Amino acid sequence: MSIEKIACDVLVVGSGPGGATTACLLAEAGKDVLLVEEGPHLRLNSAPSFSLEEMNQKYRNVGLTPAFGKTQITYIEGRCVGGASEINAALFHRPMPETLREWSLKHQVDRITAEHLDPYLDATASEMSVSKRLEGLAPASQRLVAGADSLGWKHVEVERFWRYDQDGAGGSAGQRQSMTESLVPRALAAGCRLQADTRIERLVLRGQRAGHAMARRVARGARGPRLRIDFNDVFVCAGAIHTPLVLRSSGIKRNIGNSLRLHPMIRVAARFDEAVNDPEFGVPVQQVEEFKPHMTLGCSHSALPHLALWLAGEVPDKHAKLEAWQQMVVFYAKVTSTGRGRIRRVPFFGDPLVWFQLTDQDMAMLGEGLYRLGQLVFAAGAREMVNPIEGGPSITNLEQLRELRTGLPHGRINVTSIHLFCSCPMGEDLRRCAVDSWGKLHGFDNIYLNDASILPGTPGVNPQATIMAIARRNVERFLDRG
Amino acid sequence: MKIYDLLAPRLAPVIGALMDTVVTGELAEGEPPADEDVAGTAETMSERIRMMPQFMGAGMVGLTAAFDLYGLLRTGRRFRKQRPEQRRAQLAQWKHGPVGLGRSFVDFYEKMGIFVYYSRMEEE
Repeated sequence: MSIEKIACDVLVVGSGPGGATTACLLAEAGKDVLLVEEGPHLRLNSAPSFSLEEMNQKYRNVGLTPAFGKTQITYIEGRCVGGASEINAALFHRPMPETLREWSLKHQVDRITAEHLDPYLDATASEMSVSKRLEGLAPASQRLVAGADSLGWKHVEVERFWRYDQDGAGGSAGQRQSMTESLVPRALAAGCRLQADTRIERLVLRGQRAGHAMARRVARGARGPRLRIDFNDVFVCAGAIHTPLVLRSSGIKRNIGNSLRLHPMIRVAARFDEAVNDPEFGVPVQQVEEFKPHMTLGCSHSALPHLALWLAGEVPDKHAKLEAWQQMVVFYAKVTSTGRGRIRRVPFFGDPLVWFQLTDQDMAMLGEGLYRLGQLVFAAGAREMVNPIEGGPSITNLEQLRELRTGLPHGRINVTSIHLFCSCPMGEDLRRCAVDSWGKLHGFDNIYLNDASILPGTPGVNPQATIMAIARRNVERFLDRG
Repeated sequence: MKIYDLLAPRLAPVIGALMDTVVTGELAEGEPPADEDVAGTAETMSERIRMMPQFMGAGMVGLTAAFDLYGLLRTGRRFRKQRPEQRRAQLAQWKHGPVGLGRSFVDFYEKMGIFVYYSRMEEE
């Protein structure tokens, strides 16, 4: 049976923030680029944000992806053109200078300090219309601010990848600048070709080069025909889980998929006396940064289905709580983890199997995060917090949290993560790094990685801006090398 | 073809019974859920299991079948054929049992089932 063949100069695998940045800049530099995405090509507004419909359309495995360990972690990945940028809160965070300095020293990454990265962050912010919210603060954010102020804690309004047209054409709510609203159309206008619903299964190696890629059409989850893609250079930008999966499936294993890092999050619902929950405002954008970068506190999207999810199981007075759902908001504590994860391919199935071990130190950090959340919500006027340990009594005062503060029990709380990285870290330290300081795979001539997988450690903040800035920097070096 | 596609017709009544127990339990103090809402929730849950990574979907299929058959040992009737109070008791037994996999199984149907139920209500 004949296999369809496609040829290009540069193949970019994955169209999330790293891949879209890579494809756009290469295409605008005159390269013949083919951008391949496993998921479908949908409009940003094809489903309401954070809805079941959106999960069905745009989330990998409809959002059901666990990392196994003593405490299971549910993580979320986008699987559509634009990747995570189509489903996230579009928050723009600059990496902290001390984090970049640590990456530079520990992993021997060249030219990664704030001084070097700031111009790329500035360019990203400018091109992606990064701006503050114009619609005012959500009621939940107002509560967070009131609580933080009364405790004397530092808090900020986080900027977003969001465009407000000066003439009002974007509407008062503006428009999230996901990749399908920004860099993907730019790439296509510059001549880039896009193949959605196509999964790269492996790269075929010839010595120190990848010669071509074998791919398969996968529209609507069904296995379609195979195809072969020939290229001169390949950028793998499939995210922290699937980039190592593609490489390991190709027989490339040195420092690949052994050092996954993530930001674990614990969420709790809090009840107030008055209405504080208005999902029309979207994700609240105020965060407590008093404990940054090791801990960030904030509010989550708290529509009724999400609240019901966090109240499922044995919760006292659940029905009354759901009846008064507008008085309830889900808060989160996101912490940096010292744990490490591994990614392997499940034999015969082809899916990734992710192991992540939260350390006792991580559980202590989550316990501390829970305690700080308690301080915050009670200072903000909350009447009670739902106990994150199912079956436990409602928490109505800080004393009840003192025991949990020293460390949460493994296996008895729900831990989630939306930030994953570091599965193929960059740097010149060959003992631990998969790619060099510019994303080129050690030991290979034409394979580059340019996504969350190459971050050398935990940024402690939302990583999208860091990923896009590093992707710009790496593409610039690639083009300079000729 | 996924394993789930082969076994879906046999598992649909079990998932329906599970969702009926979970949703009715969640709304115990309020209005009982309409049959068509429970059926719709079960249908969506079946689709979500089908969309899981294959190795997990295969595990979920096995556990769901085992859960159904476990009712035979306990009451002489498969879960899908049990009375509501028997179903609630079996679900509680697995939820508080010593087997971690059994607890995770109930946790999945409880949390995801109720999320799906309220999402459908919100859409309507």
